[in-house]
Amino acid sequence: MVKQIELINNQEFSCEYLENDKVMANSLNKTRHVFNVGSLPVKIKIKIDPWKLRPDIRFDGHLVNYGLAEITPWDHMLEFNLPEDYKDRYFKNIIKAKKEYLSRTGRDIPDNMESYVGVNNWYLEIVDKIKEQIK
Amino acid sequence: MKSILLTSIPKYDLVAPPAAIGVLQGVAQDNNLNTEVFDFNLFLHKSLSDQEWQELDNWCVFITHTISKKLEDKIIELWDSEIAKRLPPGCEHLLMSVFSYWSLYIARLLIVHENTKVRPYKLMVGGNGVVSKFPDTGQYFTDWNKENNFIENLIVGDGEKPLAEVFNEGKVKYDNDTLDSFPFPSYEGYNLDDYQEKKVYITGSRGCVRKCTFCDIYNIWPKFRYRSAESIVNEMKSHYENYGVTRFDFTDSLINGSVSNFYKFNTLLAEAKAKDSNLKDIVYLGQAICRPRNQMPESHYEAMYYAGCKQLTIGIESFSNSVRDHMKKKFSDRDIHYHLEQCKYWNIPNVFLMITGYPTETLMDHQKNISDIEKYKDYAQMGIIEMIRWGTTMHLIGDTPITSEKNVRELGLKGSDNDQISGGELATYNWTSDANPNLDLRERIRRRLELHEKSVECGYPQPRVKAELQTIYDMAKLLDKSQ
Repeated sequence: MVKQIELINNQEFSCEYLENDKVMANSLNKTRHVFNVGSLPVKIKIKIDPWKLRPDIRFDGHLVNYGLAEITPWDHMLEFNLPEDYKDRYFKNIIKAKKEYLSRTGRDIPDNMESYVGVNNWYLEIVDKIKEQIK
Repeated sequence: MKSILLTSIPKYDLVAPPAAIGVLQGVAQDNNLNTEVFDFNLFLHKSLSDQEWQELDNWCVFITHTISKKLEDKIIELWDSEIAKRLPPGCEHLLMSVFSYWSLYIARLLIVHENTKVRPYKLMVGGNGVVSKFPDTGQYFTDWNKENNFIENLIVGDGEKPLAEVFNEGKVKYDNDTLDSFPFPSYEGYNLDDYQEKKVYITGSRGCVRKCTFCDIYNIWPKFRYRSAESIVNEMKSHYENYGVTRFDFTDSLINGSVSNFYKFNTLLAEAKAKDSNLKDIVYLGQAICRPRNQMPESHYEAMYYAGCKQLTIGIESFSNSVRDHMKKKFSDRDIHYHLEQCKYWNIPNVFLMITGYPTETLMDHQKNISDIEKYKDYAQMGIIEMIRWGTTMHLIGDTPITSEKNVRELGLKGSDNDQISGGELATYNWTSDANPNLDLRERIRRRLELHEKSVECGYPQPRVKAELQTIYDMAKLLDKSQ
């Protein structure tokens, strides 16, 4: 559950914070703005002045990557959805990005999936063989 | 012009060109030698079948103490044919880098073989492995060489100065106490595309500020030394200019050994990136130690973020305080939590290195590992604990504090033959402790499987776990059913 969104930038900026297209808060001329999030799921828009700023964003104190958090940066605002399983989605996007990187570089061989991604690796067959051996 | 062929051998990773060869090639070029490089590790990986590679790997890590004659012959044949092809004109030296004790067996095979040949070059051998003992004979590498006189130039410890002495008949400008006096490494001759990542290794320091009981770094570098922050940043810039590399992997045992120098490095690199947009893609990763807040305040993590720290590999080893205390890790549960919170705040991913079945690990300590996997799983979901590695259970490595006379006596450490381990004689995974009699190899493997299952269940990415499980299976097969 994301409860708080924090935006930070070196130069001062102003924000209009909207949840499901309804203005919930305004915050003016600061380098750091904090907004409390209502119930999830929610569609969030944060209009930013001046335009074209890309502030750092933290969800509950976690500095997030725009791509992994599925944040669309428009010139005048940031737009994103926060589903209830936001963290699951963030994790899936990390794994997807790693796989895509390996694929793009032609290195998506099983060995590399093991070395760099390393998920869903129960290896039940080997585990069972080991268990049998140490009985 | 004089020339040298620099070679590296298994066991080493396949991720990037070997750091040691980069360093030594830098020295050779700085001393006006023509150089050629040959990564025999990479070459063998490409040339051997998966089964042969696994056999070689098991041999390198002492799961087995021999390999088949067929594989031995194949390795030698490949070595000979490639060396003949790659030997530069006027080659006076063939250098072999023995990266660690995991290179000992294959180094011995090749060095013995080299001495059956009539060769135009002298053999130079160096690397961390040469200070170790062969596990099968218990003989030190150096004593073995003294007895057989195989190697013309055996380099023990830092390679730069002795290498320059050989090249320049004793005249050297380097100073071992001042790492900044060494030339920058050179990766000329490597095709970076042959490796899994386009990156180079970089060394900011040698040695460690800790003396963890399971570690042998102290034997190799008893004194912690580090380069100036300015020199490290300049080396990064030079590799960017020469090879277009933007990813740097520190070889240091820890990049935050000197907290003040590490902070300065991060600040300088962040400033350089801010000033020159060409450098903006530079990122780095490295091993570090977990430190309390008073040693690494929030501002240090902020500087790491702006400098481009993309991953820290941390030897947490155990989530149990008492196990870590015995290991002399010198950080608390609170420090782990602080570190994770700071990394979350600045989005710095971590690889946690863990040890399963440390000699003092009780069932309660093991349960603490299990419960903390659960406790920290949110950090894994956010990519802050990017990966966790539980290893192949605790090996006792010779000449480390855990195999000191005191610890062997206090813990009643015994080898598989039930004889007391005599300090520093071997590297073994099959040991028992009179002080912790339930923790035999069977129990360590059982705990390791539990940690594996819990980690997968909680969604922790675990790299190379298939290979680790395969090794554990090979270890389990050697268990006597009656034990």
